[in-house]
Amino acid sequence: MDYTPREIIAAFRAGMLDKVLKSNTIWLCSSCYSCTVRCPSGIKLTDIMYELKRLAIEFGLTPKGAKAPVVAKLFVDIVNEKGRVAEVPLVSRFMLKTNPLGAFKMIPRAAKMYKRGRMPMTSHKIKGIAELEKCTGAMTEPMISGLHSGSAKERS
Amino acid sequence: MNKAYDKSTQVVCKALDIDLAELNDWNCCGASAYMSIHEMKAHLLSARNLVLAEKEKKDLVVVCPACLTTLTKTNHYLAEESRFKRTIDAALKAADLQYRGSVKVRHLLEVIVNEVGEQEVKARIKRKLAGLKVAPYYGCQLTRPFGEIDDKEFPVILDKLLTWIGAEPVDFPLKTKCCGGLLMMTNEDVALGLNRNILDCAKQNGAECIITICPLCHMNIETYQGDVNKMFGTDFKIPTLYFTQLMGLAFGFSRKELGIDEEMISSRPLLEKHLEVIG
Repeated sequence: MDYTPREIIAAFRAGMLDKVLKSNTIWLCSSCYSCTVRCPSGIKLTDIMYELKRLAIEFGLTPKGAKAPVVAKLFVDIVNEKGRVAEVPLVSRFMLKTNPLGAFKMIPRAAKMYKRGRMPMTSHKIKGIAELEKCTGAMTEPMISGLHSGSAKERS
Repeated sequence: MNKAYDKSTQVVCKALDIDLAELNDWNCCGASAYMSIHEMKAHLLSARNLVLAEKEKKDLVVVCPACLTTLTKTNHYLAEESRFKRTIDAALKAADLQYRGSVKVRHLLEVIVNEVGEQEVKARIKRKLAGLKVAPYYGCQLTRPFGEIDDKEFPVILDKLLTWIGAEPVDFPLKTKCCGGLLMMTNEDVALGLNRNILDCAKQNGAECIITICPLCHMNIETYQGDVNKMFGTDFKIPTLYFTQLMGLAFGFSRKELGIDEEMISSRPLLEKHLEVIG
């Protein structure tokens, strides 16, 4: 973790957002919300982390080799395609993109899981996928103008 | 990858007369991954599920805390007039959908403890879990960020349920520490470290088994336990079960019906030691 949460807020206030957007810190955030519930200033840091992730992608500043943005984008692609996540396509596409040789290391575990009936071999496409597309098509994501923190809820 | 959770949930709900019906054509809630890429579209995923649940006129019950958090967040945001609400409402309208805000989003654990209650749970016990020491592992998103179900860092709701079914929950200070979630895929070393701490805490407090309420926690704690050992030279071998599996065992159901034996670390020796049939 290159910047601590406090350093991230300090960077905001110092106008050094670009440093933060290039950091590994934001991609190490697992959204456990510990920071959010403990912050004495009531800062919803987890939601800020989500926003920083989105900004980092929007401005193309994600660190080279960072895997978390890759899995997030694949997740989005699969959900957009089927309406639900299919673990096998997610993991296999992810491994091919980030660490094809590492995929071999996963084989023993995958085989064990398959033997125990824990490897989903088919994936489901929801009936409402067109409905979902209609809704998302009718919506634009808030475009970023200037620096601000917080979620869309706070901006409205 | 979690048929066991599904199987045991259905079995337990039937035994407790909880009318559980799968939400028709539900879509993914997006969890933390979707929100990392698109904000409003992520909320829309939740909104569609809320619309579907509202049509059924039932509470929306989930067994995954990530689903709980994302659905609850969207539900809360839609409760007030705001630009956020107008945006989501307009998007739903494009497909002739409307959400009136009447759905309650709940985790099954809370439904069982608060609504079904102690008497009903105890009345169905057919097996004693004689002295089985368990670590109640809540994970991070059951009680955070909203804290509506219980205390945000030191909840006791699962501990309570476990005592009702005859297990002995141990002291477990890391009960809501994150297992790393998707980090196990993207930053494995970091996630293994987090799980090592959790396993260590459970072991040090005398737990023979870890009980979880989240499919991703289960995956990380259980399926990757061997990897934790490899990385840190530890020798953890702590079986990990879903709370519904342990409930099902106490209610007298078979291992097969509850998806036990699908896990990587066998719970067989442990359960053989502790399960006693009553009467």
